[in-house]
Amino acid sequence: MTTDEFDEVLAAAQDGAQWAVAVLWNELHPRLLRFLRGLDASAAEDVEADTWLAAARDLGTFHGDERQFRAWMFTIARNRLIDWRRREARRPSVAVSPEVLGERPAADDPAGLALDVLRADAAVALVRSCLPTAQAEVILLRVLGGLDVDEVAAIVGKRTGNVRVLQHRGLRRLAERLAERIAEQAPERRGVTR
Amino acid sequence: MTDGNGYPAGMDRFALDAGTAERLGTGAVDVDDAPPEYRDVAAVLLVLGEPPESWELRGGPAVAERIAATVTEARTERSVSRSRRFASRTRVAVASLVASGLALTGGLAAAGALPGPAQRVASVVLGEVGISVPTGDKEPAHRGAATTTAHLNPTMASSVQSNPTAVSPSAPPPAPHDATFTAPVGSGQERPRTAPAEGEASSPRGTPAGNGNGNAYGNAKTGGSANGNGNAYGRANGNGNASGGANGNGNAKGKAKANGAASTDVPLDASLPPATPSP
Repeated sequence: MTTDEFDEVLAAAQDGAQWAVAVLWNELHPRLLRFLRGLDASAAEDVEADTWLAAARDLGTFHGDERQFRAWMFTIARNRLIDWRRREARRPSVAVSPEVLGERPAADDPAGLALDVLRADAAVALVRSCLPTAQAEVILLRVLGGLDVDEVAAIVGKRTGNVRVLQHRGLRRLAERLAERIAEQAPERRGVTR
Repeated sequence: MTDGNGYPAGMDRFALDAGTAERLGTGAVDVDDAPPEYRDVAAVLLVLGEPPESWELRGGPAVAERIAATVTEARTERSVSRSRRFASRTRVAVASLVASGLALTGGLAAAGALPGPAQRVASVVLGEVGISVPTGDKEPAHRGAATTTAHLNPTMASSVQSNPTAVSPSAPPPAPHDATFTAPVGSGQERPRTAPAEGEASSPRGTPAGNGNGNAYGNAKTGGSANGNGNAYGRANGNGNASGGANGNGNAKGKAKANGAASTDVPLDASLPPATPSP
């Protein structure tokens, strides 16, 4: 979307035009959902819906370009996820039998590592399963939000240097874990190639 | 010298320089452009940023409709809230302005720093609510909180002021009915006092006043058609106007009786009963 196009879409969306809202939603919804799934798969759907409602309430007050809009949306999503986790922490947990869990395939099923069948949701699951939350968050924000280190630092409330370190460690850890998994899964299929 | 993976022992096969990390972090590095040990990472990140699949956009129109409705609703609420906020702020601003103005005016009035007419008005208005401020005639007027009542000795009032029959060429023009005027400041005035004072002056119709006020300066208010000022402190000076066109000035020497704590370094209103106009 060009700057003019985005300005037009944003202005229309702020007036409540459904077509404009649909454009923004189509553009950002998949990214937001992947981001949230990468941090907490169980909460992603609910939190994403909350994110859009919160954004809708404050959309009229937003000023900025497309990049800033993305950063704004990811900030809301992250904050909503934090709220959701706080609420969940106050709720009693429900025990689930291991048999039930055993029936479900893992989201990061190594079968998905074959790149020709690797889909976005599996890639998200890989990142989530391989990385600590802080590292996964930085990498997901950079890739899915299309944000630079400074913008990510502003969103997560850390210094730029810290974000760079988290990114560096996350990439390295991801490379190590992927190498391990691929080696464990199929010695004959070395590496994930497109 | 190599470990199981073919790399020299001690060599970090996942070493990653900052520039490469930055490029990889964008998620847009082609697999072939990535370092060998990071090709899988580059592939995963590329998939992460791929365009949405159709199932990810399912239900879009319904969601967009709901979001648009929320946007419209929020906009309406915001405009209502904004107008309420504006009205509230306006009220607060006006109230603040009025309060500031009153405080400023009151302060200036208390300090006697207002222009003459304004000071007199402030004196009268504030006097009505029991606050005494100067009248602007060099000495404060005190109304409503009299602490001194001075009476001229009637026997000494043969030449006392307010004689409407005594016309003086230098006297001011006849005051209109119920007019208030400020008596001129004379010399040899009272000693400074600390407490406010107000006296009473009574003047029979058409006859010289037997009583004078305890102040020499101040406003003489005519209750009817006569005005008078009196000096209760040793000497009485007075001016009198009669609606019939008679003006009088007089001086009286006598003693004033003061009740209470006198402080007569202030102008005083002398309300006189209506005098009978001279024919």
